[in-house]
Formats: sequence, C-alpha cells, structure tokens
Amino acid sequence: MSDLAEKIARYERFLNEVWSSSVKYLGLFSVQLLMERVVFDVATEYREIELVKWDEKGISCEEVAQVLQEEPNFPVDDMFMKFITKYVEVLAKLIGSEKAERIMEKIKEETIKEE
Amino acid sequence: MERIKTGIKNLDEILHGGIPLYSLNVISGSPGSGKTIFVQNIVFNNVKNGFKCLYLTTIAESQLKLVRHLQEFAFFSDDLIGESFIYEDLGLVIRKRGADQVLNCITEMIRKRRPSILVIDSFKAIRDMFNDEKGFKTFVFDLAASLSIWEVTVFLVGEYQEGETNTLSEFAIADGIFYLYGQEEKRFQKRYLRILKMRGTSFAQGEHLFEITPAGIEIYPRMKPDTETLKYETTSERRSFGVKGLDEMLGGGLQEGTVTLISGGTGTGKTTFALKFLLEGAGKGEKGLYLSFEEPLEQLRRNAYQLN
Repeated sequence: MSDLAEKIARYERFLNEVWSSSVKYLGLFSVQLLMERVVFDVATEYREIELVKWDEKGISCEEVAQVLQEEPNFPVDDMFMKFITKYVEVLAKLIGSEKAERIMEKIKEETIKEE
Repeated sequence: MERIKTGIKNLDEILHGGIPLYSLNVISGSPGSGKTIFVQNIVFNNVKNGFKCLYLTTIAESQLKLVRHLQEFAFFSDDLIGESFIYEDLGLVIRKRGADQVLNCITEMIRKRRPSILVIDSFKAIRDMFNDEKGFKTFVFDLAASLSIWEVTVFLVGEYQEGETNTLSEFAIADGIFYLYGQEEKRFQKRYLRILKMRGTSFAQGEHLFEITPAGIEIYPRMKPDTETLKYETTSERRSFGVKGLDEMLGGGLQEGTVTLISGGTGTGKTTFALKFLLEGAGKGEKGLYLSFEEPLEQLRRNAYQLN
C-alpha cells in the first residue's frame, strides 16, 4: 500500500469512528444527512470529497484513494481536516460542544492506541 | 440550550429566554388569528440582528399580498427584503414538480440561500397536496431531520384548529406549537396565544392575551399569583356596615381579616354596600381603600351624596 493510500485508509478509520459515535446521539438517519451536508460544504473547495461514500454500515474512502492515486500532490490532509472540522462544528451545534469534544477526545485516544 | 430571541414584547419571558435554536415550530390558528404577523414579527426582529430568513409562501397568501399588508407595521423593513429576508414561491415549484418533490425543492433552496430561519406559510397547503397521511408523515419527519442538520430554525404556519393539534402528524414531530385564537366581544376582539408544546425549555403555560398594534405583536402574559403562603393574623373582631339588620344577621359584622365578595346584578346595590362599609369604618377613624375599575371618583361621590 502506498503512503497516500495508507493515509486515506487512516482517515477512513477515523471517520468511521466519528460516524459510530455520532449515531449514538443523532441516529443513523440524521448522521447520513449530516454527512450529505458536510460533503456539500467541503465540495465547494474540494470536489473530490464527493467521492466519499456511505451507507448504513459506515463510510468508505475507496473511491477517493483510487482517484487520488493519480494526483500525488493533492492536499489530502487539508481536505480531510476541513471535512472533520466542519463535521465536528455542526455536530457541536446539534448536540452541544461538550459532548462533541468528548467524542473527539475519545476517538483521538483510541486512534493513538491503535497506531 | 442556545435560543433565538423573538424580540416580541413579553414573549421571550414567557418562553424563559426564547425559542430553542434549530427547533421546528408550528404556528397554528384560524384564518385571521394573527399567525403571519406573529411569525413575520419574530423573523424581522431576528433579521435585523444578522439572521438570514427564507420565507416560503405556498398558495394561502401571495408574496405581493404579504408584503403589501405587512409594510404598515413598524417591524417591517424594506431594506432587508431580498438580501436577508428572501421570499420564494414554493407553491409554484410544487405545482410544477409535484408534492413528492417538495423536500428536494426545499433542500435545494436551503443549499442555495443558506438561511438560519425558514418559514413555510402555509404549511397546511402542503399537507393538502399529499394524497395519503403516511406519505405526508414521512415528509414531515425527513424535513425536520434535514433542516436541523442545516442549522435552520423552522416556523410552519398553518390554519389548524385546536383539535387538530392532537391528531395531525406535524404536531407530533414539532418541537414547539404556538396556538393563536380570538374571541369576539361586543366592544373589541380579544386575542389569545397559548404555547402547547416547547421541547428543550420550560415556558409559562396558559393563555396569554395579545394585541396587534402598529408596532407589531404585543403580549400581555398571564399573571401568575405569588405562590408564597400569605400570612396574616386573624382576630375574632367584627367590622360592621352600620346597617342595623344586616349587622345583626352577620353576628355583628364581617370578621376582621377575611375577604368578602359582594355580588349581584347591575343596580342591586353592590357599590353602595361597599361604600357604606368604608364609611362606617371611617367614622371610627379607620382607613379604607376603594379601588374602582369602572366608576370615576366624581360619580361615586355623587351617588354617595344622593344616598345621604
């Protein structure tokens, strides 16, 4: 696996963690709507974010990885960071910033442990 | 819980601070009950504070009529129309694309305009376009979920009767329900507002009087009696009217420290009894206080003088 593919796979794992934690508070239907909204917002800067796909089981970044394989200089980190920031920003408004922060801290801890 | 202030006199106090942000609220009532003025007053107050509103008209009232009728109110601001206060004709879109496309139409408008407040006036008109209750219920559920994700606070205006608030699906899904109604009286019309539901906040229950003035809506909240227990000393002393037979019937007069209601039809002597009671006390050097809601002082004096 290339460095880029590995990086995107890490983001995919992280987004899936965020997804599962959000479902607990918002429910599956609203989380899917939230994904749709954040993708719409981030797509104004990075159209490639529309390649992120999701269903009831979670998020897949497979198509992103495939397309970006051809573009090694694409700012992957910036795109995903903007996505995550926007997602958490909206989530915080919906469930309160304390809960949103707690979710993020927990996910960060688990991600660090895994790595 | 973050809230939006309505800016309507006394309403934020009734709501204990305002309407919860991103909530879906139904403004219900009969035609002419003041729903549109009520919601427009809230919206204009917020637009003046930097919020952006998308106002979707359906087939109940055209945009032209809305603007024409509302421009007489002090809260209305011509400068905000088109920029922060955007009118769109949802009725036209629905007629072209069909009821099953309503949610998509609204979502497209939200994406394009990015409002923080959305009003649909009248929502009842949309309900009438759906052939089955199940389909409409799904639409309302999806609409509520979608709009909160887009960080929109929603007001759905509709000509609903009070009984319908217990049965129709939009009321089950709504976070807040305002019910406006009026009562015709001989000299003037009394208007009332009741909050039937408000998730995420407590509120002052019961009916609150309101008025539509050139300034907009003005609410007079229901008075809540002080719940503190009234403590006073009681004695076995009697206070007389100075009317022999009556004082005898009362065992010497009214018991000190008690409250007595004098009731009866017009002209039966209620005021005279009350004045006589005060006069008797005054003759003994006691102070009396007479609060009159109808008869002015001069008339009371004249009546008392004529009765000697």
